[in-house]
Amino acid sequence: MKKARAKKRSGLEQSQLTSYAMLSPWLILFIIFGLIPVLVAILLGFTNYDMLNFPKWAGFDNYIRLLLDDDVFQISLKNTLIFAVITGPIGYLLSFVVAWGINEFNRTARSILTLCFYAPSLGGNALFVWQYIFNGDSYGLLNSFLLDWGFIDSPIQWLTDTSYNFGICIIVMLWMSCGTGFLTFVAGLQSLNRELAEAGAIDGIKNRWQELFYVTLPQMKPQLLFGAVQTISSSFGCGSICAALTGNPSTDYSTHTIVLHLDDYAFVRFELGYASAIAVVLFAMMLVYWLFVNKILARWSQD
Amino acid sequence: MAKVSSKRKINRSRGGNFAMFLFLFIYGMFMVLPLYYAVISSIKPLNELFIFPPRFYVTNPTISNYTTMIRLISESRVPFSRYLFNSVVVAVGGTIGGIIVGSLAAYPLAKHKFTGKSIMYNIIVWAMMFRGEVVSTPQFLVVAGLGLINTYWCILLPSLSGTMGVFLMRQFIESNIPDSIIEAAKIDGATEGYIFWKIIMPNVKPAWLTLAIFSFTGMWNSTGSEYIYDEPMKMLPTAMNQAVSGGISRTGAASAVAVFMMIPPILLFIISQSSIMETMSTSGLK
Repeated sequence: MKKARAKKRSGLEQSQLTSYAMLSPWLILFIIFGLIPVLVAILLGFTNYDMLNFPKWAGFDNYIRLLLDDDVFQISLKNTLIFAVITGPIGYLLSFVVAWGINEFNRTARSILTLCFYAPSLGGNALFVWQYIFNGDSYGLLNSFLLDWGFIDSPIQWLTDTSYNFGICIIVMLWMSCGTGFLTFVAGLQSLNRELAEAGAIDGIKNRWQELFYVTLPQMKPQLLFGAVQTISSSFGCGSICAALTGNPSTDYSTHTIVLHLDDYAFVRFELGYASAIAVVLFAMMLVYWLFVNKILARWSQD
Repeated sequence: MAKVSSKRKINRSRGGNFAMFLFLFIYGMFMVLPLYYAVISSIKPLNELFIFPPRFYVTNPTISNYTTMIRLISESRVPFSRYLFNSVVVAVGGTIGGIIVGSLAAYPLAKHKFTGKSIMYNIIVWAMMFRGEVVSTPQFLVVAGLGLINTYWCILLPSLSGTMGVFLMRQFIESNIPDSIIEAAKIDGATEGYIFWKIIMPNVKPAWLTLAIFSFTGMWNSTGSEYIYDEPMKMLPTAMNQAVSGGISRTGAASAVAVFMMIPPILLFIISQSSIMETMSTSGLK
């Protein structure tokens, strides 16, 4: 009893307990649904597992097969890297420039513009419109105009022709790039300290670009990092957009991504050990990429 | 003229303003036109949908595509309203729960001192990448192992475990709530619960409204198709995709689905945007 009371009286102890108590609902859920799945994937990556029989130890077999023997994985790796290294950063930059431009308008206009750019990310079903735009028969919007104007004589199979469908996936991904990160940029820009821009103007900052690099960006570090994390997560995790547009699997796996490959082995073939190895490779790539991006952003937004 | 130029903001040239406007206009058209086409297609009668070449306007607007959508969905013995109910439960529950669970964790991470705080913050930042499609397969094993298949929990719990909400709330609390307010409240004898509900939460309203938009949109659009096989438990997006996946002949109904699914997130966005503005202008938070 005495001990307990003494414990209660010391302010630090009590505050630690309250801190943990407040953290615990989220922390418990995070351990169960965030941490354990990743650990399970790491473990299962070394086994053969079909969900019915107990996992059988397989050492590095899955990884050897994945990296040396799996041609489809090579395609999906290449596609995912293109999405992550090219499409992701372009979408990130565009959404920042849009947020920055929108910030010049008054409140009402800013809200309407924010909604216009964010709207494509609002609805999961909205991207179906692109299926009608790029539909392969003459009713497809693009085909019908090209036919009408005489640019082409017969409809183009935009979504199944391997020389077009990857580019179309990139276009649609850019269409949906003003998502979570974009809204954070808009909110961050609104809460900037206006006086700093004025002080900068007195100190010799002449144009919007100088103001952006010397005044605005250094204040935006938290939002920029957050946006970067979102972009990495969505560009490495892209797959459903490709599957919805070009079918799953697409012609010659031309728009296959790592996530689609993962789903294929997990939910179609039930080779969960192999699927877990794919997941682990994906995690590793994301971590390496994040370290790289973090370094760049840290250099940009220092001081 | 002189008045106009003196009104212009500092560091802004007219040419630059024009270039920025042009960029926003072109990119904005690219964003909005496909959505406009979806809205137009959803109110076109059948004979206008298949005119060659397609038109960007509608002569005889109709709601028949929306009634067709509801009829098609209700064809599978479960009524439309049940699917709607499922999605509303998950979206509203996930949003409110996510804000409470996330903010509760964010407050000590932003303002308390405790062992393991910086490690936990780093874990949160790292874990933020591992969400959605990237972890869906490993997550499925855990969800299945816990026997949560075919319940609302299999969508709700993984979403509540997300780190994005905690991260966002922590950033806002840390930079927007001065330590002195919390210390003053503690000296006056306020409990941690009082500080959290009466001081922190009202002052970070813009943050949790933003979070509400993110989580509602995510949950409203979640299909849960990996976890839910039982027809009455299926989410609205799944049911809608099943119903309208009939190729080009279902164009009208599919457009109606896309428009219908976008209305609730857009309404929430408009409502919370005005509140965000209000909070920002009245409380003067920096």
